[in-house]
Amino acid sequence: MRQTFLAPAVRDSGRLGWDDMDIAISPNNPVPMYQQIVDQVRAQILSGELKPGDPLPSIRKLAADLLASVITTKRAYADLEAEGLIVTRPGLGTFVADLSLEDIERLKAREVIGHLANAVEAGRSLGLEDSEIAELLQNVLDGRVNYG
Amino acid sequence: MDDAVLQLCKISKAYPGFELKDVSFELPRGYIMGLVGPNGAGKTTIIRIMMNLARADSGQAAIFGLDNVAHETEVKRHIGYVPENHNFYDDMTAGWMARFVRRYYPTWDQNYFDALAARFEIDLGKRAGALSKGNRAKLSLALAMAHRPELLILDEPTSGLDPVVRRELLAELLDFMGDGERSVLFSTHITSDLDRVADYITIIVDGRIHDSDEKDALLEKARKDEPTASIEDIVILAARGEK
Repeated sequence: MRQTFLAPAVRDSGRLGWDDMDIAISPNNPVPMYQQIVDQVRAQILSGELKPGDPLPSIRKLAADLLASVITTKRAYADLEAEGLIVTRPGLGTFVADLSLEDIERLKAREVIGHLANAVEAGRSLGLEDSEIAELLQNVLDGRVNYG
Repeated sequence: MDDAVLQLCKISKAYPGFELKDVSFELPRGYIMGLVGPNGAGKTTIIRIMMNLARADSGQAAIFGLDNVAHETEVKRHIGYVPENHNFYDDMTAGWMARFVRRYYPTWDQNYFDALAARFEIDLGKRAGALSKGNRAKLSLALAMAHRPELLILDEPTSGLDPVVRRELLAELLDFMGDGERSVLFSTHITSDLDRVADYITIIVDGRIHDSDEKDALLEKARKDEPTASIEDIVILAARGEK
């Protein structure tokens, strides 16, 4: 697991265990804090930064490291578990689930399809034809778009 | 709640010009609750009633399931209390203060206190009166935490402190929570401290409970109308509504 410790800077890193996660969250982000944790852990699992079987910090340790509340962290782990991305083994701790390569590819596809579906919906609600939306997507893929 | 460390039931108290009315809320074990509201809303009065430093006109407070007046000594042995104004003997050293306080607590852990003092960079040989504001707050917290209480009651612990010191104190609080057996009640008007660490928020306005709920639930509710709403916004709206 790649180890980078981002938050919070004032802590004495000598006191921290070596399972710190590369996560940064902010209460000022309109995305709820538990969702910020879920999104970042999911991204790390899907990108392979976290591998099946990798241990995750305990809820309370992660809360302390992120300066987040215990309830927030608990909810994030519950959501990740419901998505099948992590598993809690009583007495042992929490781990990245034993996902096969196909599982991960399927989850990646689901993640991207979600974003594409939003884009399609946005295009249609603005009155674009599907062919125009497809053309725009191709432009984006080709890097021929100015976001202005 | 099955395991509440703190339960207030219909606490009322009237002073000339101020009234605390039917204050009820509970804090489950293992969590941090923020007690927020404008100055003069009654936060300190509630805390003083819990600590039996003020007497309620009616209502009950139970701490660890025990009546806080009938079982005062027993209950207080497991509480760490940081009052709004740090009461030190200013002519005595920080180290002397620790030796003074430890006599009252059988569970005092000197190694833990020394570790906290080192982490907080408090010079134990220095007179308490000569410590900076930040160091007084840190000493006060270290003195309250060193007997590893089950419940920490902090009255405005971060007020007047710079953001770096506030972060340090919050990190230390979360560290202290450790195993899930300990709980914290934290009164403050600096609500940004609570945006991060509080599990529960109790909002008090004009002596009455406006709301008491999980922080995430309160934020979620407020963010339906205003996507970037913070605890501060919720408190301001509550204060306006009552006046």
